[in-house]
Amino acid sequence: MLEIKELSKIYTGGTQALKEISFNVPKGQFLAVIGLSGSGKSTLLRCINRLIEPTKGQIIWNGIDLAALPENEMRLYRRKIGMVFQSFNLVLRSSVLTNVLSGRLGYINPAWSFLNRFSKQDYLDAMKQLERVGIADKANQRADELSGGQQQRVSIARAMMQNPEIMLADEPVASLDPVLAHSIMQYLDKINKEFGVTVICSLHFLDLVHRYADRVVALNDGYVVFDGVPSEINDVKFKEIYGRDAERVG
Amino acid sequence: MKKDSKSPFLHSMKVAIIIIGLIILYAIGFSVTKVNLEETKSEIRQKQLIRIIRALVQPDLFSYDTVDTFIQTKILAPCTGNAYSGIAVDPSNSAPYLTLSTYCSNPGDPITVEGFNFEASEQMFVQFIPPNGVKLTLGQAVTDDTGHFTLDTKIPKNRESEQPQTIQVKTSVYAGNLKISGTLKDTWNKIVETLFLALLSTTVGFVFALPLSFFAAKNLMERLKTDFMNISLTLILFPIGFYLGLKIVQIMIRSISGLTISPVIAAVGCILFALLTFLLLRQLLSSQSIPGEHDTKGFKSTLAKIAAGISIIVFCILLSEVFILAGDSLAKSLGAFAFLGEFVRDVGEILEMVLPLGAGIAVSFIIGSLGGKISKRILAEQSAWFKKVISIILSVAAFAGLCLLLMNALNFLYEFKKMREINVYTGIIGGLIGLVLGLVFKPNYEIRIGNVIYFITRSVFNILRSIESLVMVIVFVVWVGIGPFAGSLALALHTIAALGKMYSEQVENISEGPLEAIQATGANLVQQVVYAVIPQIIPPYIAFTLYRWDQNVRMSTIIGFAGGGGIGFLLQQNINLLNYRAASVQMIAIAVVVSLMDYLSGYVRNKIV
Repeated sequence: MLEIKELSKIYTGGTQALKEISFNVPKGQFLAVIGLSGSGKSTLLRCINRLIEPTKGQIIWNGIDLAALPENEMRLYRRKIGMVFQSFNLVLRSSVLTNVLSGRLGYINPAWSFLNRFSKQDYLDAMKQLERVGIADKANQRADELSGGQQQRVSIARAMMQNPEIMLADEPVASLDPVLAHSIMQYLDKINKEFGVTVICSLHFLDLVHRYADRVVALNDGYVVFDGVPSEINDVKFKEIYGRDAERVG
Repeated sequence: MKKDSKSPFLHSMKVAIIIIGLIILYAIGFSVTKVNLEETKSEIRQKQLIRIIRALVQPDLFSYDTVDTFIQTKILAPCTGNAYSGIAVDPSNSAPYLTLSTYCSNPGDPITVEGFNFEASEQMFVQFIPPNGVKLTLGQAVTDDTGHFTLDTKIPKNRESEQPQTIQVKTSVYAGNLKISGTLKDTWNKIVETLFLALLSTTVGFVFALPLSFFAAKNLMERLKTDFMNISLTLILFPIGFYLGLKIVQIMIRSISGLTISPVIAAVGCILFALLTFLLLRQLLSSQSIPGEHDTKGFKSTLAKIAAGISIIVFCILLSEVFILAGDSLAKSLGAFAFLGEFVRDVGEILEMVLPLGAGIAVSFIIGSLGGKISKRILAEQSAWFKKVISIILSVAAFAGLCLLLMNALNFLYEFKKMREINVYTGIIGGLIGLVLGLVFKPNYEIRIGNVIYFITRSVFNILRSIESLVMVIVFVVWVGIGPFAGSLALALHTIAALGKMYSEQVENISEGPLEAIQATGANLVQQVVYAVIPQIIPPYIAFTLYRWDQNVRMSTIIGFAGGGGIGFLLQQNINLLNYRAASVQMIAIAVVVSLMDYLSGYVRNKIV
C-alpha cells in the first residue's frame, strides 16, 4: 500500500506543480495517471521515488515515509521502485546488456562498479529479462542501434532487474507508434498481473487507459480532479480533466 | 507594442547617439593603440619590411656544399726601381682573372682592382696577402651582369716587402648535391622535442583533470549534500587522515628502501604482495554485501580491509623499488636504448614520490566516511539536546581546526612574526564561527556541500587558467632549470586547469535522462557517474584532449621564448639574430605540425564518436 498524503511540490521559481495531493494505491493495482501536459503527472511520479524532492507532504510506503528519508537511505528503497521513461533514458553508448545490468546497481558492492563487474547470477537474470521482452539477440549491440520500441523494452528489462514492487512509468508510450504502444503496455500489464507489481503509469491516450488500467487518477493544474475506475470517465468528467475546449480523440 | 508609442524622432536620436558614441569609442581605440599611418608609408620601413618578407619566404631548408676558389695576382710594393709587370693574363680566356691599375706601387698609393669573368651580381672580397701570410681585406665590391667589378682602394702601409705580394679575390662556388640544411636538422630535432613536450604535458593534464572535472560539474555536485554534523566530523577527520596516511607511508618507504634489498628479493616480494592483495580484495568483494541490508560486517572484515590496504602499499613500494633497481641496471646494459632504462627508473621514482600523497588522500577519505557513520549513529539518538550539544562541540572544533590550518598555510607564504599569538586568535575566531554555525544549523540540516566543492574547484581552475603558461614557465625554470622539462611542467599545470574546465562543461552538457534512470535504480552517486556519465563523455573527452595536445604544440612555440625548451627556443634565437630565413623554417615546421595534428584529431574523433 502506497499512501500519498498532501503532497506538494513548488519548483524554485515559484511554479506549483502539485497542490496537496492525496490518494492511496493498493498493492498490485494498475493505476493510470492522466491529465494535460504540465498538469503535474511527471512531477508526481518523480516525487514518489524522490528523483524530484517534494516540498511538503508524505509518501508512506509499507509504513515508512519516503519523503523524510535522507538520500543515502532513500536509495535503498529506490531499488524496489522501478521506473521507465518517455524517452527511454538508456545509456546510448553502452551495450544493451550493460544497460539491463545497471538495474542491479543498487544491490551490488559499489566498489565493483569501477570494474563494471556483475555476478554470474546477474548476467543470467539479465539475459532472462531480455528474453522476456524478446530482444535477447540484441544483448551485445549498442543501445543506440535499437529502434524506439526496442529501447523501451530494454528499459523495462532494466527496471525489472531491480526486482521492483512498484513500477513507475512516465508516459512510456508517448514517443512510440500505436502498435508498439500496445506491445509495451502489454509488457507492463504482464508485470502487473504475473508478478503482482504495482504499476503507476501516466498516459495520454484514453483508449489505453480503458484497456489496461484498474483505476485512474486525473490531475489538472496540480490538483486531483478525478479518482475512479476508467469507465466512469464520461463526457462531463472528460471536460473537467482536460478543460472545456478539449475534444475526445482515440 | 510599447515600441509604437515612441516617437520616430526620439528613436532616430537614439540611433544617432549610439553611432556617435561608437565613433568616439573607436577614436579612443586608435589613439590608445597608437595607430600610425605615417610609419607604414615610410620608405625605409617599407624596405625593411620587404627584406624580412623576402627572407621569410625563402626558408633555409636546403644548402649546397660550397667550394672557395681564390683568384690571385701579384704586385710589388714598395716599387723598387726594377718595375714588376705582374702575371700575364689572357683576356680571351673565360676563366676569372684580376687586373690592377699598376703592378708596381708604393704603400698608401691608390690602386684600382678590376675583375673579369666572375659570377654575375656577387659579393667580392678583395684581400691583400703580404709574404707573412696575414690577410688584410682591401674592400668589397659587387659584380655586374657580365661578371665584372671595379674596386678603388689603397695599398696598405707597413706591409713593405721586396718580394711581389699577392692580391686575391675569394669566390664561393656551389658544388655537389643539394642537401638538408643545418637549420632544417636543428628544426627537426626541436619539433620532435616540442611534440613530446606537448604530449607529456597533455597526458599529465589529462590524468589530473579527469577526476577533478567531476568536482567542477554543477549537475553532479548539486546532488551531493550531507547533514551538518557530518560536515563538522569530516572537517576534523580529513586532515587527520591525510596526515596519518602521509606519515605512515613515508615511514614505510624509508624502512623498506633502507633495507637495500637485492632486485630479485624485491621482485619476489612484489609478486607475493600482489597475490596477497588480490586474495584479500577478492575475499572482501565477493562477500556480496548488499548495501544497507546487513551493515554489521564485524571486526574480521575491518581487519581484512586494513590488511588489504597495507598490502597494497607494500606492493607499491616494492614495485617502485623494482622499477628503480631494474631501470638502473637496464640503463647500464642497454647501450643505445639506455633511455628505456632511465624511463623505468623515473617511473619508479615518480611512484615513490606520489605514493605518500595518494595514501594520504585515500586514508582521509576512508576516515572521512567513518565520520558519516558516526554522525548517523549520533543522529539516531533520541535526545535533541544531546544531539545539539554534540553538534555544537564538533562544529567549534572543526572550524577552529580549519582556520588554524588555513592560517598556517598563510604563515608558510608570509612568514608572520608572533605566530603563537596569531594561532590563539585564529583558533578563537574559528571556534566562534563554528559556534555560530552550530547554533544556526540543526545537526541533521542537509547542506549542499557539493555546491561548495564545485565553487572551490571552479575557482582554482579559473585562477590557474588565467595565468598563462608563459608566466608559469618562468617559475618552473627557476625550479628545474631552462629546458623542455620546465616547459612541460608549466604546460601541464595550465592543461590541468584548461582541460578540467572543458571536461566539466561536457559533464554538465550530458543528457540528464540516463543519469535520472540510473539514479532511479538505487545506484549511489559514484555508480551514477560510472554508468550514466562516463559513457556519455568519452567522445568529447578524447576530442578535447587531442585539441589540447594541438594547442600545447602551439603553446610550446611560445614557452620556448621564456626558456621552456621546444622549437620556440630556436625561433627566438633566430629572430634575435635577425636570421629570418632560419626563423622561417621553424614557422613552417610549426604550421605543418599543427595542421597534421588537426587532420589526425579529426580522423580520431570521427572514428570514436
